[in-house]
Amino acid sequence: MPASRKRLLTLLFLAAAAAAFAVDPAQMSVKVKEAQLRTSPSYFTGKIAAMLAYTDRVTVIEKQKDWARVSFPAKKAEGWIHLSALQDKAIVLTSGSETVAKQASSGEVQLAGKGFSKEVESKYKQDNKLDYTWVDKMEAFKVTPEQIVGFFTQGGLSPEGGAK
Amino acid sequence: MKALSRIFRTAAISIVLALVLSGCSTLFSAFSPGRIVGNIADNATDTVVGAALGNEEDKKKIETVTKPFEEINPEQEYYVGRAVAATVLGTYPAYGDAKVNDYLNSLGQSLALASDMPETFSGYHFLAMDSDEINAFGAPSGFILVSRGLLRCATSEEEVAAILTHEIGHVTGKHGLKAIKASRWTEAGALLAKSATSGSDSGITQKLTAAFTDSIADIVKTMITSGYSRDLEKQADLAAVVILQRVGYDPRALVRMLQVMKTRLKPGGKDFAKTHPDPAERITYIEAAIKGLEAGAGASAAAEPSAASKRQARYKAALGKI
Repeated sequence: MPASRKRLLTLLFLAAAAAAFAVDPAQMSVKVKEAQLRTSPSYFTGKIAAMLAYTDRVTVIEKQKDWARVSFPAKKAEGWIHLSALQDKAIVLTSGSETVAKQASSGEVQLAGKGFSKEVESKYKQDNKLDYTWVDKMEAFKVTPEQIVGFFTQGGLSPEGGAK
Repeated sequence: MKALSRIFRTAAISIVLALVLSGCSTLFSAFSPGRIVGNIADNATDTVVGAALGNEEDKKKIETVTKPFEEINPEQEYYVGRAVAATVLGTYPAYGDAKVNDYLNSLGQSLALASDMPETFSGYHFLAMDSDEINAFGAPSGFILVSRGLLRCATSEEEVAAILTHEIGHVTGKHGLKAIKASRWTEAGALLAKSATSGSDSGITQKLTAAFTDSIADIVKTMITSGYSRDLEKQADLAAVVILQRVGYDPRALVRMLQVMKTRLKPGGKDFAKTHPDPAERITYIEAAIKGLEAGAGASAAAEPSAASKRQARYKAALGKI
């Protein structure tokens, strides 16, 4: 085989590979404040492997019912996360760049902290002289994953039911 | 000439290869649950609009207008939920007993994990309201408020679980957001798109706050005064039955709660009696749903009877004097 044909074949193969990987549909974004990455697809038997934060972009490896096994290279983490914590669309923190602004207005990406935001809440609170003390206190009520498992076990309930 | 045709053939094979490879990823995307979740959210937006309008034609018209505006995202739903909770707490003050609220959160957050939407922006949170009225509110994003009057109707943990799961059902069904009038939705949609492309603009913030204020008023009015539609109440009841059954509580606890409420609600009262369908009507479809679940193969194991005394003891310790 002449060298020029070999080069051409290699080039064509590379072009084919690039076309195949140009669009990566296996990327999803964390749409909640914080999410746990677990060792198995269950809130009860899965141990927490790592914590993910709002806007983190993960790579989906596989899916099982309502759960996805994902990897998050920035933290060298891998584990299971419930699909209700993920969305396809990327979430971007600032609207500084013009490209991002364009993508946001066309619906390609979602901007964090825009629309009904902290800023709007402050104004609403001030205009209506509302007291958010108990809302903040309420939000601070945290039940740890261990406490939840303990609550189920003590009550003789079937925790695996929750993992569907 | 021969060489040229070989090149073309190689090129054709490469293109086919490229298409096949990229086709795999397209398939993966099309069938990914994430995509399904997205579609459900889109449909939810349509229902939001539809729910506010009776007329099918108007519904279609508004849907077209609001199509570019995506459903409210979880972060924004969170601010709506906080505002609804703060506004309701302006009328019904919080009952700050730590024992009561700790128990409601242990029970409620455990139940929420067994729902179809265990993750919300900041999680599920529960708070008792210091009111004798029989009432509860499931505000968007998982801010759930329950009156002492309603908690007094319960006599066991599973009955409290029945109350909480009904409210969780309103949250997972995004019923609060569905109470926002279509006109506000259109207005907010346009503003949201604008705010996405601009920096901090006080004019837009002002208008967004006005749209936000009107939206919160719509939700609070529906929750406190007019009530959700029969359909949405039914959805919340059915979601409750499913969650109760999944974790092992007897879903008939919901029926027992409704029977008690039926005797305690005052006709013409400004609480549950005003905003919810007749308990008798609800009991009929709840019983049917339970029978359906029991007939299905997916019945979960019932709670261990030996632990019943422990469940009753922790319930009594937390809510015995509510």
